[in-house]
Amino acid sequence: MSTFAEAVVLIERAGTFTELTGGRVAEEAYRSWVKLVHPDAVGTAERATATAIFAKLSRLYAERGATVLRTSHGTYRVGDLVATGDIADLSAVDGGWLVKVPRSPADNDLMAAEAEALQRLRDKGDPKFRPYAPKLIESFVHEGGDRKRRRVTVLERLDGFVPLSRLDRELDWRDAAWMWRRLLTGLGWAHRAGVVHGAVVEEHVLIHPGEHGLALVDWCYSGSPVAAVVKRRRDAYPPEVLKHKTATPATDIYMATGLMTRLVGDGLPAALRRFADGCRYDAPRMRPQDAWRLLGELDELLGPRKFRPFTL
Amino acid sequence: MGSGRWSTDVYSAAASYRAASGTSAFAYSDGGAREAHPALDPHGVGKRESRDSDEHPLSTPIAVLFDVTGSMGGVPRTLQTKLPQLLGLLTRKGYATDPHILFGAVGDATCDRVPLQIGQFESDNRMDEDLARIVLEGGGGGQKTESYELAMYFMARHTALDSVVKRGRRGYLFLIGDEMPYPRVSPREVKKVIGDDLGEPIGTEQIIAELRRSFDVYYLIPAAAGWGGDAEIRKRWRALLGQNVLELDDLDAVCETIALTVGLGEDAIDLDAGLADLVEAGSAHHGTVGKALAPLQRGAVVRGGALPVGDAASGNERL
Repeated sequence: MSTFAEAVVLIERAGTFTELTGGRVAEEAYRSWVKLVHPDAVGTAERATATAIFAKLSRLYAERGATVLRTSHGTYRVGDLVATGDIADLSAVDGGWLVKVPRSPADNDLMAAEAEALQRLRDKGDPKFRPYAPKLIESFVHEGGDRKRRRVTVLERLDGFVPLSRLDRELDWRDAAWMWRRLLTGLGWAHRAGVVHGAVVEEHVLIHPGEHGLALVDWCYSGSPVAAVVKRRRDAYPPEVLKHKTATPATDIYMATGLMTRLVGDGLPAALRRFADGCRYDAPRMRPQDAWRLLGELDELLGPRKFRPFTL
Repeated sequence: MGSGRWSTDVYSAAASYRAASGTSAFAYSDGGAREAHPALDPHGVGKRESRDSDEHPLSTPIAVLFDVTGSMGGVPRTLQTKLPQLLGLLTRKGYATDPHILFGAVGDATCDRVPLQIGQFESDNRMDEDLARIVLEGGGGGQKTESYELAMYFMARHTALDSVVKRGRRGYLFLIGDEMPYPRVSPREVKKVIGDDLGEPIGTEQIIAELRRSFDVYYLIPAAAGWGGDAEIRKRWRALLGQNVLELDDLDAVCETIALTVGLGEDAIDLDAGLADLVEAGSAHHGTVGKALAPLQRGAVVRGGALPVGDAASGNERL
């Protein structure tokens, strides 16, 4: 490249800085491009073009080495790995978001199920309860050089939250009470939007200890017929999932109840134990069907509420 | 299944043999057959497999099932003469890598003797043999419904596709017909035709949702068929498949339509480039095909940027 016009064409066309190095060391290549397109190096007539092209050149240079995903909605610069889930890894991207990438392309259907569930919660769910699930920013298909296609989602990052699997002690039932209440609230909200979570287990329920916040994550297992279960939590599933691949709101209620009883362990008062037993019948039709009505029953049992600070 | 190389010589030999002996391409059917050929009988079949191999490392499964009941008139016979061209077209144009093609036929399980016939995923002239073995029903009720839901049940639960498992790329399923599916998959018919024990009926919407995990599903309505212009039928399929319902004005363009749809899905071409390809290939059907496929223009797949893919073991168990 020797002229300004040629440089403009090449930089406009480039998707990564590598396309502009021509085999040279990155710094050296960058300097030679700067000499050609820096706004100070060109005449007044070309200054506007040069400013735009120089901005793009600088961006490509800054992004070199990092994975940058460009979709029709936005550009995501992929940063550090934040969490490893059952099927996918979550990495930070700019803007306080997470990019979720399935390890196996065979799990694309689960990724699509999650995107669909989150979109449905957004469209059909009562907006008042949106904090109970992360916001879906975007879902797209990525094709790598190996021709593998992966369904990738970009999600809101929930700062300050920890999964219940991170608790290393049995909970006092009074601390479990607010989690239980919020879990039923979140589930009732989803069920009213026509979404069943399908995998209410420790790893998928995040709490914010300071604010007594709770969010349900990993909606990959929603949808019927149920395609898969979390292997290490197989025992937590009700019979209809394993036998008939079906999941209804009563499935979530069974799993949520099981989760809370596991967290509290032996310290669960007899009245709450009976309450839990009444939510855990094998036959889905014998269980409570409406999480919000069940919340009413739970509140009656718990009596007047008193704020109890909770730390991990 | 799915290995072997398409040999033009072998296919020409088969075609010229049929021409020479004067037998119809549907020799099996015309010979008076009243039950599915053993090679196409779905009963007791484990999985119809499309597997990668050294010869075909990047298989692309494509299934074409067409309605063979009376309402379709002469359409099935035309399809039988056109469809053998499909593999060559895909291969020549590079629309899909290593195509594996399965042919099958749909009838009416409530009254037909052969309500479902399903061949194997093949990559050579054996797919032509499957086509020749299809029994033409000519029956079907007059009620605008055929057992597509039974065919979709089979494709959802009795196929194993390497492209989906290894590369996250779904296969392509084309249903060609002019009627509606029944509202649910009947356990009694599944037992009789396929041999599975189903506890309770499955809604057609639900089986399509399941099928779409492994296939992009398209419904092609030939204008030449009996119910080709029927609004109720079109509306029902649109409700089930959305924009993937394609109307085919000219039956001769069936291969071009399927090939281009696959090319668009594989992101190998955009529609304009594909239509230009057809003109270049001397096809007279670019108008028909362009009209049929106009709704399928879609957002491109995101490329570039190596995804951070972890190597932790899978934490789920498929049911």
